[in-house]
Amino acid sequence: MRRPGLWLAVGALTAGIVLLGAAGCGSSSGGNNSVASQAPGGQSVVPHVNGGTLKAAFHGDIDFIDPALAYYQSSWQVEYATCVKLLNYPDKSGDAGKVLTPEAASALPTVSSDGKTYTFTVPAGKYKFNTGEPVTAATFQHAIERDLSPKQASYFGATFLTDIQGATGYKGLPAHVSGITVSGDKLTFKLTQPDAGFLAKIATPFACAIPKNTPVNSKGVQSIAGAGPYYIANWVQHRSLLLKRNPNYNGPRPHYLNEIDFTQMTLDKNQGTLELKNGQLDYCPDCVAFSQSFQLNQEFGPDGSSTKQTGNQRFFVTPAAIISYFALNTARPAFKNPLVREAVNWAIDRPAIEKPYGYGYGTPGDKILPPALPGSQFEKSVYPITSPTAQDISKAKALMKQSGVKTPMTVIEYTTAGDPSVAEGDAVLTANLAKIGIKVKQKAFTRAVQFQAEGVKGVAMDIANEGWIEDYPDPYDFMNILLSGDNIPKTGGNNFSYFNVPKYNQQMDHANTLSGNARYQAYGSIATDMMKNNPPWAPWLYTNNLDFFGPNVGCTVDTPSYIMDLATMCLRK
Amino acid sequence: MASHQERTALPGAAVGVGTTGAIEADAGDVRARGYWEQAWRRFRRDRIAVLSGIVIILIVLVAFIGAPIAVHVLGHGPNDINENAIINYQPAGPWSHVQDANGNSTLYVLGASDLVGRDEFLRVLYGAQVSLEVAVTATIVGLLIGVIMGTLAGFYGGLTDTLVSRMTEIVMAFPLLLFAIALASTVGDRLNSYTFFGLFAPGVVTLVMVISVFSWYYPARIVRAQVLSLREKEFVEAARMVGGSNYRIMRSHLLPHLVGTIIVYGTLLVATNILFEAALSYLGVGLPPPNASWGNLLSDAVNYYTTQPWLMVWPGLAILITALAFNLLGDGLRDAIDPRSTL
Repeated sequence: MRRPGLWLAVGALTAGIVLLGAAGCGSSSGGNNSVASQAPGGQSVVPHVNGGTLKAAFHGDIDFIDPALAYYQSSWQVEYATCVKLLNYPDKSGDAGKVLTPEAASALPTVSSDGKTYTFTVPAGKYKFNTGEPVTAATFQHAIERDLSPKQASYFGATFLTDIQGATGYKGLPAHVSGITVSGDKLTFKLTQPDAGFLAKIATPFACAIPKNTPVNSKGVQSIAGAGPYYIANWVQHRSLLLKRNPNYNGPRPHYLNEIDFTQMTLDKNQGTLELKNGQLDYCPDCVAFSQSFQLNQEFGPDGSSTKQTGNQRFFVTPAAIISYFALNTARPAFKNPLVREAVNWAIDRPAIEKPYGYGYGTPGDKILPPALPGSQFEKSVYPITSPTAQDISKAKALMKQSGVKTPMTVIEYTTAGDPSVAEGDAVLTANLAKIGIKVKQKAFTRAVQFQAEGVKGVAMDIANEGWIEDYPDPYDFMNILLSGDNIPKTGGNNFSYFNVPKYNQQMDHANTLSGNARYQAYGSIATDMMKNNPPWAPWLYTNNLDFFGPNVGCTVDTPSYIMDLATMCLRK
Repeated sequence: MASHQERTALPGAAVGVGTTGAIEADAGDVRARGYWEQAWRRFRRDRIAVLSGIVIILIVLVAFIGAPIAVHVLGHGPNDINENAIINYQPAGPWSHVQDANGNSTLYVLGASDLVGRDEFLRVLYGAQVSLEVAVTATIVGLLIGVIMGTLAGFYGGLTDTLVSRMTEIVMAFPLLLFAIALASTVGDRLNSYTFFGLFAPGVVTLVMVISVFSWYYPARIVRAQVLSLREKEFVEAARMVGGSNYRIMRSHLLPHLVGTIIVYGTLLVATNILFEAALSYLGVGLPPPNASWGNLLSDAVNYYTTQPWLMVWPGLAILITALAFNLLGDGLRDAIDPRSTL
């Protein structure tokens, strides 16, 4: 054989060019001419079909369909459409979507004067699973005791429910937890100490109603009935997910579609964007390729060329309660001194770090609490959120000098592998910190490994490139969970800065006993003080949700806690 | 190509006597040409092979001499970040004049490579250094292992041959890419710090080791087959009779016969290894950021294939041209060195 490599190479190149051309020439079908009213985070109801199948795909898969274990944002999005909870958030965007409202419970619970006892009334049969089984008070007792069963290995049980009487030391089902009792349609929780965030915790998908015969399974059940507007009809792990309308659902939540069919679970973002553009797909969460978001906004955003022509806005940028930050490991010599951490906060170029993530990815910021989270309004900005000026860099250098640390010093950053945006953002960080004598060396891991490695106490890591998505809209979920010294286990921790300052621990514990505005105010002022005098992080971005839809999709609502609301979605007429 | 007449002009021409020599030898002063001289004459006549050789020399010059000159002329480095080279959340296009951090205008010949505004042209040039370093070094290491293994197996036979042959088959049966990725992912991080006093970029040693592990078995099989046949030849018998040791026979009598094969296979292997390096870097187990290689440039460019498709073209073309040049050179050398060739 002579020179097969030549013809193979030429053939491959030709094929590549042809495919590239074909991809680039993909047309965007226009949608119809009906004019939809538009709102931030989605569209209000448009003339739509009652029924039909939504063609969908995931980019980042889901982890579990078992509510005790599911913890991906995408999994919670599915559970929001398939779950009934004691209390839930309305299918609304913005602040209206953050108000807890009774769902399976007939009203908000009665709370004892000492703030330790919560009593819910759960009318039996108000909701039913797709199997016909009614949702009762005992349903929730079983669901939460399952979360608390050690053999279930639920993060929720281990982290959020430890204040329920009898939870610590609970051996697992079929025994009952002493602090959870059912009497007729009454469900009572007794806590060991007041917790003003208890209702928010009990409204997370971990506390979703599940059939009473659902077994304890640390690997998660493979099929489960749902009592929400939809149920999971079929799930082939890593392959596909089919949601169907729950025939027994009589609640007030919308449910226009017959089916939501996720035919791919790990679709490439570029491919997903193209398929959405061409109408081959209707919806793909987290599928907007960073390199295409600017063009998508130009074409399909609120003032996009296609939007003006068709009235159908298909690209949405919605602020979310997500923070991106560099955790500065206070347990390591490099960042033990608060002045060094302050210097880092003065030196980093937040907009430049954000740029590689593409248009609309987020808003540069320096606060611990993202603006979409209650309490953020009370936290003051301390550091530059624009590119640092010469004075800012001088200040950072002065702080470094004042700290007495020896420069140049080398620090290890744990970061995520395989994502060019992350690598480029890290390159900017490296260049920024080089100016103040800090040499950053990256160690990249797959995301799951990175998260685990950072959570091992004593890890040889100085900076963790991290992010946090709210579990529920409350500052406790950011501050106590991520920054309390009481939350530093040997493994599996979230406090990646290993921040443990007794003063702040006490302040945060106290703030958690408050409610309403006083609570938010307290958390806001703790966060301000922390960032000003003893910054555990260098926060750099408040992340947005980017949503792009196929031309046939209407009725979209981006909720604060569960991103795009699957239950609300419909197909246009 | 030599004509039929020329070939028949020296019907009895044996190995070691140049066929074209017949034309010059019309005056009767027949001059015997050596094996390598003949090979060189044949190679010179293969214009594609010569052109490939020139292209390779040019690539080497451009990579190792041109790149630093380009940095000097353009005034910025391959890893320098420049926010001004990002326009509308897209890397600046080819031949863009943008401001650098000091406010001076600087040229981006092939545009920016990413959303931190690094220079694609310089990164392709520096990527060439990495690709060539990795491919050539891995080829040398692979050939070294392969020749030693093949010679031992072919010369000694028996248990040695069985062991080497089975080992070869075992390595060949491995899912190559998966195993290379696993190797790079596990030990790669530790190896990345070895740069041999800054001679190589971080990560090059890892790539060389990973690629070498999978480059030795073909040369080993080829050499084994040749040695199996050569060890029965009279000159080996003669060497034994005069008391030549095994080592001496292998080094002085067998290896010179393998040189041609090794050179030819070496050039072909360089081409294969360039592609292998690109594949590994494309899959994210190659060079760690921020250093560029053609593979990771190509990998990053995929994100822009709908908006800036030319970012795929530059490293793609560089890989194509280099791999093609090495392949064609290898083919030309094979034809030139082959004694049965009749150029």
